[in-house]
Amino acid sequence: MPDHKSRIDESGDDLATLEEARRATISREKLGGVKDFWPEFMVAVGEKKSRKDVWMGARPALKWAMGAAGLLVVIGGGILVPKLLRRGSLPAAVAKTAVIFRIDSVKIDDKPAQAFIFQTQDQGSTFVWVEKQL
Amino acid sequence: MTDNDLVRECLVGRMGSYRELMNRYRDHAMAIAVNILANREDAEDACQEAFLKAYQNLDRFDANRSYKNWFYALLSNHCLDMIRKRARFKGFIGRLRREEPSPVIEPPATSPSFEDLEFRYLRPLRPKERTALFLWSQEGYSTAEIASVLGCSPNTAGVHLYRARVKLKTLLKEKNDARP
Repeated sequence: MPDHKSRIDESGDDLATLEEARRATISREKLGGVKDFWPEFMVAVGEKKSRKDVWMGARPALKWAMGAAGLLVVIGGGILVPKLLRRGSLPAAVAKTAVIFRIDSVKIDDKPAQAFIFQTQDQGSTFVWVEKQL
Repeated sequence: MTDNDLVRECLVGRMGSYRELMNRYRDHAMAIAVNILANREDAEDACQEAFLKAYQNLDRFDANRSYKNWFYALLSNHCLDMIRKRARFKGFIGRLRREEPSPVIEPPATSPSFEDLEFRYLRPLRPKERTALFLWSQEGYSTAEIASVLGCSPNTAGVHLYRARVKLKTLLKEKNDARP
């Protein structure tokens, strides 16, 4: 414990009392109604289970194919399409409406990660923020 | 039925038992998350994710420990992680903005919202100080119990609590001094 702490008297004027701390923090009573987390929890459990079932049930060759397809989508979306757009070789109608960037899955340290795509006001910039899953 | 009995039932696939655990700790969870994050929407997200994470890690729960403390530790870690990620992202965006200067539009001055007032004493505190202050004042935790939630030594937990109390006292004094 640092020295400055031991120099101050527990009952002194420098420390908030229990009562003051209770008033400053949010108690369960002050919260009011709390949402029921169960419905969304069940949806999340179901989604994780079905994703896992599809993946685990697939044959090794199919797993490779699915992984390669995902990678191609990322490469296609992230590199080739913007390149074509810059060259102007995509038809104008497609260029206007095309979904330019799509990520099906991202991994960090070989574990599924979360990806967030931010479109800035500058049409030429898109940020992809990737985070480890909590 | 105790928490640990319910955990045992969950582990053999009885989902109803997990619902019972969620109902028992829903309010507790929301209170701790609101106090750490000082924001209700973020707290709801944190609770939702923490309940899922706890369920996925139930097989790692040590039955000799208190489920409540285990869950509090998981939830507070999750909240602290959210704060760190938010700070990293804000830093990243801040750097981008510095690199690409654009006209700064000042938001119009407004009176403090209800949420600003509700969290006025919590926001100046660091997240671990808020956690310690909440557990001590609302849950009656000792520094040893706070330490088990924060994953630090009791001495360090004591320092977090001490700093929180000093800061809070200063804020309360400032508020009193500002009164006409």
